[in-house]
Amino acid sequence: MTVYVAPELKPPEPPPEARQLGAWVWLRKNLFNTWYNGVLTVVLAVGIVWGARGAFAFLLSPDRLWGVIPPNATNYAVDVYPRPELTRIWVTLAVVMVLVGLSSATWRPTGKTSWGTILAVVRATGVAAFAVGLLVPPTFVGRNPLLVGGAVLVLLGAVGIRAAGPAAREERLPMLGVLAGVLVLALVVIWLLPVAKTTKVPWTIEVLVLAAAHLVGRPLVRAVGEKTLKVVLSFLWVLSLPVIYLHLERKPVIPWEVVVSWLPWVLPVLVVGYLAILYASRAGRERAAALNALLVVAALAVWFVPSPMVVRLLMLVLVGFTLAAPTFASSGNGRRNFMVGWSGATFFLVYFVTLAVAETGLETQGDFLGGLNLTFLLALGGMLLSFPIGIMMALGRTSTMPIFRLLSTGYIEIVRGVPLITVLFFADKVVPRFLPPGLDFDGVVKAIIAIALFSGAYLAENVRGGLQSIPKGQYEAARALGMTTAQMTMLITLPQALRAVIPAIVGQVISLFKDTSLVAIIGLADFFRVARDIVPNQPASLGSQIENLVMAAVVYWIFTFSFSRASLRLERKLGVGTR
Amino acid sequence: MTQSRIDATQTRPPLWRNVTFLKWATQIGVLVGLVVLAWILISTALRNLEAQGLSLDWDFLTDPVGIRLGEGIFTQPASGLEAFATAIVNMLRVTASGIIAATILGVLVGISRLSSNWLLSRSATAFVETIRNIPLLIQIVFWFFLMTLFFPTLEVDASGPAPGWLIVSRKGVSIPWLFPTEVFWQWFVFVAGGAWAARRVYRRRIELLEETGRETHPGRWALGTFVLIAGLGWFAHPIAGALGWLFALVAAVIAAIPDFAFQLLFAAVSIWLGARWIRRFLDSRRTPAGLARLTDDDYFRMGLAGVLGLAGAAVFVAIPQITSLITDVAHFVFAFLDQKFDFLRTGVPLRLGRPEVVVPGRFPQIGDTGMTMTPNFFGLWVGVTLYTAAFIAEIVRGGILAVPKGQTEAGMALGLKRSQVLRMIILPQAFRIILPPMGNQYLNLAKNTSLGIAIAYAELVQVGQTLFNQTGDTIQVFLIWMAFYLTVSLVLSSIVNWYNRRVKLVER
Repeated sequence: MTVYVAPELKPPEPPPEARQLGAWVWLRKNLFNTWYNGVLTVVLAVGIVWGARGAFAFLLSPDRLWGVIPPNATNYAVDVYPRPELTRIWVTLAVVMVLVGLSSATWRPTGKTSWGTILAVVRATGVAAFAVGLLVPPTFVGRNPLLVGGAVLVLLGAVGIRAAGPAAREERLPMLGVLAGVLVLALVVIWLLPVAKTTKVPWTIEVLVLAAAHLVGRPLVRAVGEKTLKVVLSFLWVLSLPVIYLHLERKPVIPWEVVVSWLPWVLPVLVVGYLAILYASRAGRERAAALNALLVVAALAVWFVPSPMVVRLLMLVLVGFTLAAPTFASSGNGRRNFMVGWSGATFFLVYFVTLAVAETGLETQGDFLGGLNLTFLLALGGMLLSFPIGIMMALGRTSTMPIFRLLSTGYIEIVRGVPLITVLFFADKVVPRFLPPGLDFDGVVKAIIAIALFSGAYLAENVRGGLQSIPKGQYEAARALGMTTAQMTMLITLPQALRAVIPAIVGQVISLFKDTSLVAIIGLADFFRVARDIVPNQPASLGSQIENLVMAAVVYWIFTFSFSRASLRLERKLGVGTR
Repeated sequence: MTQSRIDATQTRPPLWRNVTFLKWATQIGVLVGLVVLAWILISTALRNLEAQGLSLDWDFLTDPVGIRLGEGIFTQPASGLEAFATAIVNMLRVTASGIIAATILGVLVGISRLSSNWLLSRSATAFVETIRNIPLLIQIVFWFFLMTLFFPTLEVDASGPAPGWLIVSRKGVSIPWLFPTEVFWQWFVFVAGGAWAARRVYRRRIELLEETGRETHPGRWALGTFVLIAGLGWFAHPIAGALGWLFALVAAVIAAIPDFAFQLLFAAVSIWLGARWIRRFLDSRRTPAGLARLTDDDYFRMGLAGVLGLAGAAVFVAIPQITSLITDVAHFVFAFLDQKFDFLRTGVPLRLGRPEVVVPGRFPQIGDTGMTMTPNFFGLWVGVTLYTAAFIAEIVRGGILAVPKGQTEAGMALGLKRSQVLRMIILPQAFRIILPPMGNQYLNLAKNTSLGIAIAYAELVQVGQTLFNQTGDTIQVFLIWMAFYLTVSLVLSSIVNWYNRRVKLVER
């Protein structure tokens, strides 16, 4: 018997080099591969050129009042917010920037990109600019800059790709660095353009704050630990909403004597809270339950005894903490987190109640939040509040308890069955009918709650999808480890469910952002309303509806489009669908 | 070992550690809390209303109202009911025409996105990405302003582009339209019958094709049958006038039967439905080894079904108004149909109306001359159509991509042409995947018509707001909104579900 053995292993052949197709071949392959595709291409090309020329001729005609937009930039940003108090808006923006910076350092988006991709984007931008330059009417002043700039960009991109060679395709550039570069570029552009100093300087400071927060965040992650910081940041994001809202709405004249008079109440409750959490986390379930019963009675007693509102609320929060303590604070780490959490909760509660009882020094009437500022506040608030609602309703709908399931299902189906505008009208016009006379919320708060209630129902369906996608073994394993239902949900099933539906949640957030424009119908002055009513109704800019609407559409488009691109990247990174 | 087992069976856990008890206690506690909260809120609302001189009644539906609506069947409604009827018809007009247009456009764009033609697929992508990422409200207002500010003004008769056939102006777009005459319904009976017969013929021809393998032209046969019967009906429609007697008879029977008989009938039906649900539920739990163990959740469901059935019966017995409302509506419908049919009525079922302008700057009332699309309708219709089409395009694209590639290859291997593969192999399979999300988009479109309020299109939300601004009856108007939109959602989703069940693959 003969055995054939190869004398030595051949080295694998290198993959064939991708042939660079010439422009002609590309055209043949993609545009004229069959006769009907050829006809289609010609017809489409003629149609597109004709349509684009018409659209540009319309948009760039001398009759269009594009000049009304730059003088109204402040109105677009904040509407009628008192001008001397604009610093407040910059401060709240800085709060968001700090949180964004810390979050980016903690969660560390790890996406990478290559020079080739960036250069291709540059080249595509150049092509688009050049094409637009060809299509605009010859009288348009920006025509030559578009043609020249486009050509330069095309050249830059093409030469760059040629020079980098195959190295251009290596994904080595961190996405975060690219974003930072884009930010710096945007700053440079702002400084080069004739923009008011009152805009340039604060934006520069904001970007610096963002960078500083990110840089501080890195050593902070090492010092505190990633997990703790993630939890703390999540809470800070939720708390940032009332902080921002109160800072924008109030210039507090704090009644110090009242606040000081709380101290003899608050300090004992704080100490009692520490002791109660300590006891509840150590003493075992039975005794903890007894303590809880005691605390509930105490909270009810405090509620009906004349005492400061802050103490009544604090007692309720404490009951929540001790209820959760035996389940989640039985380890040393958990106990420490609970202590820190209780201190933080006390601090924020005192802060919020102080601001809520303080007179405001802002000289305004009615709802004075507006513009892009309000749009973002609504989006942020709606998003943050819709999460607890959505998760609660999803858990209710998948629960084994029939009444809870019935209630959650009813809520979800009813809210999903009606349009958002009716929910907004409900909050604006119907809810006040059910409240005692004199008690009514600010229009902005009502809008945020309505949007959150609406979006929460959709979110609940997404989360439910995630919960149902978790293998049964996970539940059984958690049960086998002796976990309670609360522990199983919080530690095993919910985290996995949320992770599985992140793309769907991002999609929901995008549609929430677009939906904020509906508040214009119930009379809030958000970005869309400024564009539709407020600016075109000024005497100097009558008849500029289309211009303002197009501008607003472009602004919304930029935000939603970049969200959706980011979510695509995220989806690919998580690989949820392909795992 | 034995000892501990006996312990476990004999000493039940104390009440505060009994999971079943704790679960039910929590649920009932929460439910009671919610009921108390609702009671407090409602009593507060009643007190508030009284203080403002309002009440929670439905008089505004029948009282005269002094509002004007932009368009619709009653532009100057005599009562709230007429106003809402107008609004609902307007809303359904936009929804129906929007669904048709968005489906056609969406499917075309979705297929274009997968085209091998670079320019076509890129144009389709640009369309989708532009439309999807701009709030719908902006788009609707944009189209509305585009028409009212930049379309040509309306002149007498000289208005074009094709005077007498197509008029495009800032007051609206008007096209020729076929309007039903008084004998339309008699002819419609023939049209419906023709469609039914055509369906039967189509199936028969398909069967024949499958038996013999010959080409039997089922489509042509069906079309021929339909055209023949409908064409015959065009002249012979007075024959269908005999149906008028039937309708009159039914109306008379409904009027003759006393209301309490209907009350008892409806109550019995309600109880029967509840009992049937319980029986089916029990059947579904039956296994070869006997009835499966029922959890407390199962008992809750059956109990709820039973309680709902009994409650329905009780409501029918206790409140005779509901029954009389139902019988009144039924009687009205049949009496109305009776009027539409008459043995002696002759004439042409359809009449052509051509657009014309008599007074400069105004279109005549809808229905007289041509079909006129107002700027408000135009803005809303174009807005929701484009927006929904962009989403439908994505669904269609996803559905086609989800069909395994082997299907295409197998089709090509059988010698089918590319277009045949798409039509006979890919699309029918993609359709099953596409259908459920498509139904969601139709629902979204129906709900999005509520944005017509931003451009004063007289749909339900706009009319409701106008009404409650006048009367202050916000709670009632809100309930009407909710009832209507939930009904539309329910109807649309049951149609989609029914269709979905029909086209679904039958699996084991």
